[in-house]
Amino acid sequence: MTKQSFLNALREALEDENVQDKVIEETIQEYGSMIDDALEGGETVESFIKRMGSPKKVAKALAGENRTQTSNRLTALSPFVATILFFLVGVFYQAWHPGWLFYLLIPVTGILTKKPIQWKGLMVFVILTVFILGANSTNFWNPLWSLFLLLIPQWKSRKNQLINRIGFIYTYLAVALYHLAIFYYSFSFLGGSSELRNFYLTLPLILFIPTIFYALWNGSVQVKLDGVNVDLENPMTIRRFFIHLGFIAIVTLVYLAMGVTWGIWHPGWLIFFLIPIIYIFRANKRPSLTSLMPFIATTLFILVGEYVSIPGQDTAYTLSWLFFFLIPISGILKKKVGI
Amino acid sequence: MNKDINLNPEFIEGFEKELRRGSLVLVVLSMLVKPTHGYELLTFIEKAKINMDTDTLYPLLRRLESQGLLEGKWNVTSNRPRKVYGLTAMGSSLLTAMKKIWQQYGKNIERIIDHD
Repeated sequence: MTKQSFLNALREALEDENVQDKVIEETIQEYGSMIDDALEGGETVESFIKRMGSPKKVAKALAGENRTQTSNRLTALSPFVATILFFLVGVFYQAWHPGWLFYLLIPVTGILTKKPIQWKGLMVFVILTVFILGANSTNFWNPLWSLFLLLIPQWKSRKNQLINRIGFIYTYLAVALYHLAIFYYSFSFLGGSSELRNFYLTLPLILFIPTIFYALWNGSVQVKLDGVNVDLENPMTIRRFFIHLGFIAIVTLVYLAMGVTWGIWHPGWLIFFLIPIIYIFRANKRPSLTSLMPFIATTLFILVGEYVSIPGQDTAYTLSWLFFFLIPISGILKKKVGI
Repeated sequence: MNKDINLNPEFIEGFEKELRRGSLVLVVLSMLVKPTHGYELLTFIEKAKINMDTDTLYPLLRRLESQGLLEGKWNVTSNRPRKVYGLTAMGSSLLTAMKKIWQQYGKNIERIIDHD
């Protein structure tokens, strides 16, 4: 890493943490001066980082007291607006699910009121909303899940414009072709036995193999093994990478098998939570309950909403959303008792 | 005491961490009695071998500056401009008070642990 690439990474990390512009400029100037001192003393930029902290760590520590105060009021209001809208569509239209999507207004407001706007983050919520709304109304959980792959070209940690352009076009094309193929097979235009059609349903997944490699190259998917990022240009980590890829492939195959065999594309997609959960356990053998709670709460919300019947209620989603309270509750308990 | 007990290293690490966290401001204020720039301060702290977490040193300097305990000035007379930090009057008063508390506390603790 060079001095300039460190300062660029520091600036990006500070902007991500929404630190005031004035503080960013002062910090960059001062780190520039300190790195010059370090280099003059015979140090490398890497050893300087080891002593003075990574850009992300410095940005996080600085962010606490130096965040911009833009439109905090809007962000503070958003939970109330979301709750009102959620109850309105729930009570009047019985749309508790997917009415809970209004709660996404909370993080979306947070993203929109922070400058510069993090489009990458916003895109996650846009795609999630389109996926839930589209799949809920059409029951096409497969192939709509593949929309999430459109997030991959948003990351551009490497600057090779040609590969980025090819990756962008290919990913969008692969998702479009995948949709076409699944719709084609789903409507049985090909004829043949149902087993054969089910087999056809899995074939178009081959389209995404180059996308996975592009994701690893551009940094949108980062696999860390023993503290080292898997880099496709480093043969030492390739073998271990394939072991991890195998795990992800197994989860995907189980999902597809459940979907094709029993038709439970939804809520079968919850099985994908296993991937982040396993990585949380790999990073920390005794992870805090707080880090696992978003997955636990969402799983409980969906499973109870789908499969539990509550007397006097059309759907259990009218109450299962309460599971989301587990997230702040576990956060509060962590602070108080350290779970 | 049973010598076979396997002491959880997290207890020791936790104790050291708490001590470092508690003494961090005292260490930095003490070292800035003579105005110093950031990189020099880092070197001083490492030479003192007190195993301090230096990776949050800069954010700490900024916090102490915003609290009015330190004053940072760009020194443009040297070959390269550097920001030099020194104690303000309030910083000096706090340092004196903290030293007194630390020394008194240290004496009390020593008396307790040397008791047996």
